Amino acid sequence: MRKIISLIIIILLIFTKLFAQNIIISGYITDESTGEKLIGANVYNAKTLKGTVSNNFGFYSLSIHSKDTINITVSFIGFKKQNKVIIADKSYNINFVLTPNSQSLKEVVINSEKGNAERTQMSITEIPMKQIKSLPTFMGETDVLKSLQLMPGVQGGQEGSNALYVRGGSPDQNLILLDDVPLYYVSHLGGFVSVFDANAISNIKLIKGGFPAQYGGRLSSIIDIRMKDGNQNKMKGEFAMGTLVSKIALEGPLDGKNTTYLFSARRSFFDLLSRTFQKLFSNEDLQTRYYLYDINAKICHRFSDKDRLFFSIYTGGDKFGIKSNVSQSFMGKSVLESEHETGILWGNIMTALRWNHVYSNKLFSNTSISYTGFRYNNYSDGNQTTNSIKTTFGYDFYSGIKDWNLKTDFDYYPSQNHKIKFGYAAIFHNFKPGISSYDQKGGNTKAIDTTINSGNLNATESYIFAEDEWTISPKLSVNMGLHAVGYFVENTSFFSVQPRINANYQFLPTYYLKASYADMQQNLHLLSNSGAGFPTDLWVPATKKVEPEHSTQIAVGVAHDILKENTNIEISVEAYYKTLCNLIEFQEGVSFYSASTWEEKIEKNGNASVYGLEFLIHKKEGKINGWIGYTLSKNTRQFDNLNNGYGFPYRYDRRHDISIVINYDISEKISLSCSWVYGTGNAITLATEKSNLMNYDYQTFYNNPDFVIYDDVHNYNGRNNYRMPAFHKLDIGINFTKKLIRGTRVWNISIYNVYNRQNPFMLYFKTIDGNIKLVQMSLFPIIPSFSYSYRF
Amino acid sequence: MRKTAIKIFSILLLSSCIKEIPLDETSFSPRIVVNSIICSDSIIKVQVSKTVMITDTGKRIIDNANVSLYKDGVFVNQLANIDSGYYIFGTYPEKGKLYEIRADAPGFNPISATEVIPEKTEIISCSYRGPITAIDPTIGDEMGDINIAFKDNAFVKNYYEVVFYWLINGNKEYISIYNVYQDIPVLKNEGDIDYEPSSIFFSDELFNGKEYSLNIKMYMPFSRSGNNWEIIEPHGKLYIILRSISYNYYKYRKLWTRHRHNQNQGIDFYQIYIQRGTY
Repeated sequence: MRKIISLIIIILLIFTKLFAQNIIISGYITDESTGEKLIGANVYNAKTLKGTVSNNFGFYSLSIHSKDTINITVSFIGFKKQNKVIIADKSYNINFVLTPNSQSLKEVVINSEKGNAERTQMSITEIPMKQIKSLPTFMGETDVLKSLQLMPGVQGGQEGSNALYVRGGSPDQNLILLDDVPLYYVSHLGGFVSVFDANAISNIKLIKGGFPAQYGGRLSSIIDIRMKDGNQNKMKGEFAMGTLVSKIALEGPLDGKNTTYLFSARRSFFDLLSRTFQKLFSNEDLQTRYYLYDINAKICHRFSDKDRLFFSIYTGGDKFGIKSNVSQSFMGKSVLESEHETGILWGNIMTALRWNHVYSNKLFSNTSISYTGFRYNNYSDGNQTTNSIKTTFGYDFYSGIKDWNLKTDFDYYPSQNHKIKFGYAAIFHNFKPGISSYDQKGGNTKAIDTTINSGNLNATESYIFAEDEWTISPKLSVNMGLHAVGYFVENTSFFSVQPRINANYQFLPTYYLKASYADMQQNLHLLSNSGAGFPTDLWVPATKKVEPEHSTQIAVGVAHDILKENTNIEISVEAYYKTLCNLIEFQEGVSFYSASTWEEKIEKNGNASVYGLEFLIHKKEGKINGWIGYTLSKNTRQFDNLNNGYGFPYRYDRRHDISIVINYDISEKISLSCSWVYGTGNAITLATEKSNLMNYDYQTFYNNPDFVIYDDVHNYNGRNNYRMPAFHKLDIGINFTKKLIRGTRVWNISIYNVYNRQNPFMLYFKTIDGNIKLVQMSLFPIIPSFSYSYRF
Repeated sequence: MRKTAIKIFSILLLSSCIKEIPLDETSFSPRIVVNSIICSDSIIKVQVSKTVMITDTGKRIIDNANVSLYKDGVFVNQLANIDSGYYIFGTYPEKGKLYEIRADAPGFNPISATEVIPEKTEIISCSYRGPITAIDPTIGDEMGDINIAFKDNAFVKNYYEVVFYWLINGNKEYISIYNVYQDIPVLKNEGDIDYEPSSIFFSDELFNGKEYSLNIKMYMPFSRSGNNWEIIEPHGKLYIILRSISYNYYKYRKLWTRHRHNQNQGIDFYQIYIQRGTY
């Protein structure tokens, strides 16, 4: 492997010599107030407007013709633009430090002449963290994933859930990366809150199509979330209390400016409240408890401008349990004592060690070794003492996945017109799709210890990729690449070469025509009973019997930027067509816990076709900012053994989806935000008629007539044949900010579902006064919430 | 007082989240439903009814239908209406013949269905032993051991159904699938165990054209007296039925099993297999 890397580097250095007529300006771009890296900042020649953008670590490399005197401009949303005049007589290493637009109300913000529209990549969504934090909250907690649900092409499934259905894909088809490491289940409270603490995040990016070759392994989207590195300048912190969680965050330098740290933790306190309530209102010896928690930590060390080391860790999870004690006595003598605890717990752990190295001002590398794991555990333990004989018993269902990753990628800037990215990765997966065990000891019975279901499954996955962002002419650029993956499981191997291409053509001064094609393969499946992204869903590998999932997507669109004083508006229209194959679904009604293996419980070889049209107007800055998004789409599934083999609407097929988000900075102290969403109702399977049915009767004892008539057999017009009522709601949030002597305090008051719309969660039939009626159950009425935070 | 306060709070909270919504009745039009399972050892019995809206609790059987029987395309007879929507024809159908039932009733489109009763499968041997040692000694259950050997016809796709019961004092006491050790290859191959089938039905996928010995171990009934558990010796005769079934019946059994299981659990996702309009 070292030889290969050395060879690659030698080849690149030769290339570097070939382009020796250019000089290179390279360095890092950071935030003046915190020293944090700025990802995606524009660096360009102010005269020609040709340039580049900083990578995920804030590094840039700009190639210019020698002996020019040029004015280099650096711009980033929310920051003051910076210019630097350079006599290009040699290569320079220049680090830019941008100043935030801290007083956006009074200041005239001169925006960049460059917007996102001219970038080659299409189908990408970036919401500034500042804008995410100002959105109305649910139960007082900012949720980065829910903010993405407000973007066109992204749906949220059930009300309150933070699951993402991107361009018709299911939640398992999203590759969710935290500092480049996948996380498998990113929800708390069954999906109402995501695991990402906004305090620890510096940047979030969603890619819906036209996937760059560097990404792979999922079919529908990439959600690339980057943690902060920690404040380089001084120690900063935040303490917050909300309806749902309380949290603390600390960051700062450890050793001068070369080492920084970040620590954030949050936890809910329902369990403490519930204990109090139970003691107040219940005399029974029954305790229920639930809590969630997240801990993020990161340490970064800068050895020099060429070498940086990062160590990050995340752990979080949920636990719900019910504990009961029973004590019975007869004539003053104890005859029965029992303790029983049952519950579920789930969570992730992720850790990564990363090394950034600048080989030259044209070559940047990023190497990481990481571990990520998810587990779900359903347990029931107890003991019972009857007449002085003690018996212990325990039931346990465990499901989980563990990954060990090694990854290296390179950013290479050979000339002004090429930006090449390439790399490789190796992943070792360990799956435990579902293991049940039961043990019993003591008493008069023999000891029992059984383990059933699917045991350990190991798989390895390796991929290489290369992509080139090539500026063919001032008006035309393409990003083309290949992602090649080999996947090995149970003496079976799967190979796939996935072409990716994005093209961007400027047909009018600020109007860009874009097109993309992406081929993706997913070597994991998620067995989901609900399709709603619950922790009970089981991750399983693709196998010989159940092959990897595959998708192709084509998209075309037009993008336009309006860049004026105090105005940065991005307008885009995109149409896409996506096909998915080798999808799986749980057979309806099968049990997780039965003895057969998961491969015997699924419908496989499913297909899907999704197409849609997305509109977005996004104003990212200013006193009034926000966006309007609209999606028109159709999403159809087909399985040979479902719906008699005919296609049927996906549960979350949503013909119309609208979102309007407005943030208004009323004054320096008060800001208001509101979001309104509308979506076509979910498609559900509902029996609208019934009939008689004749059958042999094998279940009624002492029954001689062998036939029986069932008179309440539900009939359907097809799977997902019925539309729930439309979903819509308005959320409002208001922030009161006040600067105190030693910090800033913010009160946030949010109202969820302001006009108390009863949105459908489920429909069912119920007998009311002897008549059968269709009844809708809703989850969330109007819910006010608040949070208090203090930043220092 | 505290409990009353909790109840009031809960009622307020939950009632605000549940409401009745109208069901679209305009798109519904009733269809005629003809139910019949024909077998060479019983007369043809048909029930005619109609589909109704799921909210409808009214009558649904049809007593004024015309139900005709055809054999190999030739009209045989009109079925006689008895009661409760039942129509009968007092002759046993023959194996290998194509039977067609046609039904029409005022206000409905006519409906028909065809079926051929498959040839009987010859049983090579059949035996029962019991009680025998349990499969898993730690569990401690005693079992009865049933063996049925038969030869599958290689030239056609065959489907089978097995049921067994104790005949006690003239009553059939069926042995449920719950009382069978479910590690039976053909049963597992069908993938129906989770749906709690009421009989064992399977295709010849695992033994096409070969002699097959179906081994079924059933848990013995037992009784408890104090701390003593004792096996009940069955007092009747054990009857085992191996039935050759048609593809339509096999498919119907399979999907009805799943449908029934899911409907009972409120899931309701499986459509019942409909053969040309007839169950």
